[in-house]
Amino acid sequence: MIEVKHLTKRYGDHLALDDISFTVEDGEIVGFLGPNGAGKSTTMNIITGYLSSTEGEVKVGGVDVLENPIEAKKKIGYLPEVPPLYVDMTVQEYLDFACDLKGVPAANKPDTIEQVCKLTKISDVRKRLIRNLSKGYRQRVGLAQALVGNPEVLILDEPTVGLDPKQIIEVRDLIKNLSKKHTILLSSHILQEVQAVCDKLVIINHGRIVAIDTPEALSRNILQINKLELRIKGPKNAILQGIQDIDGVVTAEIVRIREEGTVDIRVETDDETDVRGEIFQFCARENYPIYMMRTDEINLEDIFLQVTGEREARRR
Amino acid sequence: MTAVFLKELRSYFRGPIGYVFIGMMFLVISFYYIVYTMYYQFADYYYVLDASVGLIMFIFPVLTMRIMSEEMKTKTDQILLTSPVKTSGIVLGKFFAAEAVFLIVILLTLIQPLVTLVHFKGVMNSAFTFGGYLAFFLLGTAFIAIGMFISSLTENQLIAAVITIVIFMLMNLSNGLYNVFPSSRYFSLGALIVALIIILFLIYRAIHEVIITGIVGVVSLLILLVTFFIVPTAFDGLLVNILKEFSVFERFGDIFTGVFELNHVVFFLSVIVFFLFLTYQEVEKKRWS
Repeated sequence: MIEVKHLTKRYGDHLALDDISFTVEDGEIVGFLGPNGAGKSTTMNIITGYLSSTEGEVKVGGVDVLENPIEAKKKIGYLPEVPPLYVDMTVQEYLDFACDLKGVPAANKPDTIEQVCKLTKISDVRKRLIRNLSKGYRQRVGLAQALVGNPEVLILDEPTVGLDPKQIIEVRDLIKNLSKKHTILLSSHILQEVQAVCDKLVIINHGRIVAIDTPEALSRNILQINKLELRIKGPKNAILQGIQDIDGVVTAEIVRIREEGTVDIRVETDDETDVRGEIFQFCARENYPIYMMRTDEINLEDIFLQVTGEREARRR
Repeated sequence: MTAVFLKELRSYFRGPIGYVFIGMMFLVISFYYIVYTMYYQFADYYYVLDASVGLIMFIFPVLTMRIMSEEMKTKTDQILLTSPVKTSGIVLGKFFAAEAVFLIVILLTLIQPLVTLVHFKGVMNSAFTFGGYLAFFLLGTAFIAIGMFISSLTENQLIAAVITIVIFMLMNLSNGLYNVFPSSRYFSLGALIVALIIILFLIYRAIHEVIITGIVGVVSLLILLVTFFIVPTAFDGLLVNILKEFSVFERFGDIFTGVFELNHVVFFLSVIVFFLFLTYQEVEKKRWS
């Protein structure tokens, strides 16, 4: 649906994007991830035709954005980083204008507005001036604007920024819901956000793509250290000694003591060895009940830091 | 284009700007109406229009300063430029909306010559009155086009307003300025070289290419010098003539006094189209920088 090929953008001497290529398939939600200033917004602005690239091409639904901008823009709904709101209009007037801009026929306008208001839950503020709306509502009005005309592709630049946790969950659910009918490219610098909704992640840093994969594959591929956390009832020194003696255990250390008579131990093993079975057998043999055993939760934060950090180190 | 036009037109009357502009314009014109028609008893309305121009040019920036700058500042240009609308449609929609507000002023002033006709039983030269209105309309439209272009150069409305006023004042001053300049050929040559340097600077700012700018500069300078040595008489009084050609207010005065010539109208239309084109280029350029 979206094809980005060898995209490069220069601002004078500053290289904002350096040879970026990725594709978003029909019906996919792709997360565009990177720290602030990585080039996310620039890429999105180029895809939507707001900026022009220095080199490279962008196709949306098979239409080249540069050669046939009007056709390409018809397929796109865009929520920029700062929602483009006219604060002196009411929500109703604003959406009316958005319908006109996007060429929604006059007869369909009331239905279209009704529909997008319902989807984004802004029906109750339709008569209010945008100036007087809270940030969360403004963001949703911006989203409503992007949905006008039912475009095939939605491009959302940091859609949940500035929202409170409840609103974030709402917007996340909304995006999931929208993905049934739309292809979505969504950017963020918050990892949990894209992890929760995206089929694929494109990680970008300093204008370069550092990784493209599913969130799961990224966690599998990159994190190789096996980390366990245990809570076992029994004498702490004996337990520690026993675990350290197991083959493949590199380090075992007492982290803290949370419950009376138990001990929390963190275990690190060789990359390839799974010692969970051995630990269970050791504890069963000695009659030390295992109260808890879990692998360290791998989150994208780690992946992200690792991937970007590694590239960084390699470049130096 | 219609969508942008309607949105702009409504936005003038959503805030104070539309009312302020219309009110101030009407105030100035009415003042001169009282002075010329009621006090001095001049029946012909073009005196009023002609006299009011000196003040009115300070009012136009109220209308034009925000046209492009405000959208750049609030980033609302993003919804315009990423919607399936042509850039030319955006520029023209905005231009016609400002033009519509100006037309409201013109329609309101029509009452005054009618009052002269009916109430004061004045005898009016219809050609003069029509010429006066045509000139007034063309000049105002040119002001809007120029002001709009200046507004597209900066995000800051205040700067746009100040630059616009300065340019209008220079235009007004240049009206009599050419009589002051010496008509000697050397002075013309010098002035053209200065103009060339300014143009080269603008070219460099636009394309950031030292070599191309240099080549253009050297070639233009050679042409200028060669012409100067082959036909030096061509440079006699050249500057004065050029200034005269480009003097907006000079032509304006001509139409006012009923000297209706098609080339004056064409000149104004060219100025308007030229600045609309520049505005369009400026909007497009932003995408590439």
